[in-house]
This record gives sequence, C-alpha cells and structure tokens, in this order.
Amino acid sequence: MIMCDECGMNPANIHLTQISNDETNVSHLCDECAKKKGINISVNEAVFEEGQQQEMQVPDKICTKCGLKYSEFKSKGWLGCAQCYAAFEGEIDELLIQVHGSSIHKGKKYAGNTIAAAGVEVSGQIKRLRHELASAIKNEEFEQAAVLRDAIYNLKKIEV
Amino acid sequence: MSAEGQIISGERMSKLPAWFDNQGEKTDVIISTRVRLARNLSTHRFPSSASPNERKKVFEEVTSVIKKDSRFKNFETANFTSLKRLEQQFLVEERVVSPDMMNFDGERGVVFDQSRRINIMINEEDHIRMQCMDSGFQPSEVWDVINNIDDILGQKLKFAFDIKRGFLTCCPTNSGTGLRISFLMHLPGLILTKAIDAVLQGASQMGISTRGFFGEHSEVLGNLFQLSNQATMGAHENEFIENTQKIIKDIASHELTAREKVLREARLELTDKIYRAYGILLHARTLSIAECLNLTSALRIGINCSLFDSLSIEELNRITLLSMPAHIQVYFGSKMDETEISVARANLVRELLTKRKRKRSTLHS
Repeated sequence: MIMCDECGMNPANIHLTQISNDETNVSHLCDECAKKKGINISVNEAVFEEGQQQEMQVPDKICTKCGLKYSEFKSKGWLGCAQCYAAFEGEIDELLIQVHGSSIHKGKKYAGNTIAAAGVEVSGQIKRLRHELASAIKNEEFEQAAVLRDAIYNLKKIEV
Repeated sequence: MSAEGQIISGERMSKLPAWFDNQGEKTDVIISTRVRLARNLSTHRFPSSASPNERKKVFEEVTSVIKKDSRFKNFETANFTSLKRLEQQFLVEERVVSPDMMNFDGERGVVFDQSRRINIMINEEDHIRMQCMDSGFQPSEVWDVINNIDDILGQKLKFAFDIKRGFLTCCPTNSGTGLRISFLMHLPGLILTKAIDAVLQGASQMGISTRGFFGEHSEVLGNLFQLSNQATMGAHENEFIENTQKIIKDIASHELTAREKVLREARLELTDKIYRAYGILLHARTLSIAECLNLTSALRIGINCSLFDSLSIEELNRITLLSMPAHIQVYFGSKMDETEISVARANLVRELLTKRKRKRSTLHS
C-alpha cells in the first residue's frame, strides 16, 4: 500500500499527476492532506487556478472497498464492486448519462434482502440525494427533482 | 434438480432448444426472443475483481439457493471448470451460455432447464445473468418468466442495489434495470433490397443495437441479426420492453414488405438463388460455417415465401444447429480440426437433406 507523501501516516487514496512545463510530477496523498492542499477529489469539481500553466490535473481515485483505481476501470471497462459506484460517483454518473441518457433508475425497486444490512448505506444515500435535490431545484431541473424526491421518499421507507 | 450430469445426451441432440423450435409467433422473421437480467451480490466483489475463493463462494451461494427451491427441481447445473472445451462450446451453440463464458477464468457455470428456455449464468461478467428465451415474438412471456425468477432469487440472495442507480453491474452499461431484451431476426429481404443499412441506422437512432447470431462480439452471418435495447437505465423495464418490441415489429414489417417487393420484381432470380443454394448444400464436399449459414438462409426465405417445399423450418433449424462445430463433433463422435469439421459439415448436411429427399419421394410414389 502506498502511504501519503505529506504525512506518511495514512494510506494514499489520491494519486495526483501534475504536468507543468513538460515536467511530470506525481504525488500520492491521503484524503486529509489532499484537502489541506485544496485538492478536490472530484474531477468534475476540480478547480484550476487561472494563470498557472497546468494543463492537466487528474487525480486517480481508488475504491476503498475493493482497491480498484479509476484508471483501471477506464482501461478495462469493469468496476470492482458495488461500492465503486459511490467511489467514482461523478465520473460514473457522467458515463451513465452518456450511455443511457440518464443516471436515475426508474425501474423495479428492490427492498428484498437489503433492508437490515443496508441501514448505514441508506442514510448516506438519503444525504447525497438531498444534496442533489437542492442543486436540481436551484438549476430549475424540475423533472430530475421529482425523481430525486421520489427516490428519497422510497429510501426513507426502507430506513424505517 | 438433477445431479450434475451429462451435458451432451442423445435426447438433447434430437430435440431442438425452445428458442429454435419454431413454435412462437412471427417466426418467419423473428426466430427468437430473449430477455436477460444482470444481478450482483452486494457482499462480494464483481467476478472480474473477485479472488478465486470469492468466486467459488458466489457460485456455491447461488447454486445452493437454486438447489433448495423446488421450483427449480428440473434444472441442471453445469460447473464450467469441470467441463471439457467441447462441452462448453456445445452449451454456447445451444445458447445456454454466452460465448464470453468460455473466455472467463475461475469458478463459473450455469443452471438451466431441460428445454433450454431458461438459464442462470453464474460468474460471467456479473455474478448472475438470468435469461429466458423462446421461439418467435414473445416479449411479455419471456419477461414474465425472468421477472418471476428475479423475485425468487432476490428474496434469498442480497443483490447490489442503489435506489438511485438501481441494480449495480460490473459494467455501468448494464446498470439500472440490468435488462436486455433481444430478438434474433432473419432479414434477407432487407439485404436483397439493400435497405438494411438505412433500417438498422434508424433503429440505432432509436436506441437499438445490432449484433450477430451469438450476441456480443459475434459477426453477422446468414442474414441473422440480434437486435436489442441499448440503454438499461432511465426508464421502467416495461417501457424498455414496450419500446424495443415496437421497433422490432416495425422492422419485421419492413422485412415482409421487402420480401413482397422481391417476389414481385425478381421472383425468378430469388427462386434461382434458393435452388442454387439447395444444389450446393446437396453436393458440396466442404462447407464453412459462414457458407452454410448463408445457404440455409436462402432455403429459409424459400420456405417462408412458399418457393421451396423440400424442407420444413423445423428441419432447417435442426440442420443449422447440428452444423455448428461442437454439434458436428458430437454427431460424428470424434474430435476434429477446422478442415475436418468443414468436410464433416458438408457430409452431415448432405446426409440430412438426402434422407429428407428420399423420404419425400417414397411418400409421393
């Protein structure tokens, strides 16, 4: 396991490749040190400072559950486990929209065997969906907002 | 459930799989309908990332649930790791497993019913790929069967599911519903009238993918196309099925119109093509799979358009299936290389057609 270049204490989850003036610089950081350095782990939200000659700044994410790197997924097309969907959320959602024209499931619901064991996951999902709902409303994406509202409602039923 | 037994049996060789028995509706254009669902167990890594031990656990977990359920009592389990290459290929040709199944490593297998209508693949790209296929145009029927099996398995196993993204699959191109509905279509009319590209392009714009006889990565032979929905997320299963079947029906009606046009404008040329194909099949000493499928396609349209009556569709389907590489080797009871298979295929086709011809002339005399 690669440890963080900064603190040396935690495993490095973020592998940052910076190309500047034809020089490549690779650094491995843990979540905390990455945050301190102002590196946002979502590629979509990565902030590039203007004026700097940074052409590319793509941190390679890793799924903490199965250890699959995002770059490995990109080259093979296969995810490692169900948790990868959360680990590479932004990228996967973008891909889902490209492939399916949507990143929202509208089909069969499955409550089956997941209720008891998925308690923790469920509350996390509700939190995430609420966040998405707020931004959907802000962007006046009302159709999307309605779907998200239903998804939250259904999740709440499972949570109880 | 019967014990793990003989994959290749005389009974299996003599009876056509359900998807090829020509019993459904619209079989003159739509040979079969297939629905599959992709599912994964939330407790294990996907097959491509799982350790050998983990794959074994998944295989055991899924097969033990099926074995304990009386509704699957007539199903058979085939563990791929203990099958010979020829047996694996045989199951691919019967469409009991996907061709990809032969390329994956580690613990994997399939549970299937005697009629080869339903199969549940374990540790293919996903932990579970369940399919139902039947002859002709039967979307609602096969969907009901597989939807029911999904409910049964979903109660006993813990599927990876996220309320926003639905069923989570190894490749995000399948996630959401995990549903693929596909139709095996015979489209010689659209080929002859050169309308096929426009029709398939139109279908593609409406979200329909085209593949060959054996699905993904397989080439189009014998004017046989597999058409299926591309997206699996963003709509309900019923909507995906409804939209796909509508487009398929349209394509089928384009095909029939094209056939009518050929019959009207080039009846003689078509009849000539059919009988030339019959001549080659009756007399050839070597036949590749591609040539064989192309020639039998001519006979198929001949039978459908009442221009050729020396065979029935069922007999033609039997010849088509028996002329696949593994089936030929089983039929003649010996292991062969590619050249030997081409010779054996020609012998087999000749034998079956001549037998049929003799039978008919006895009847007529």
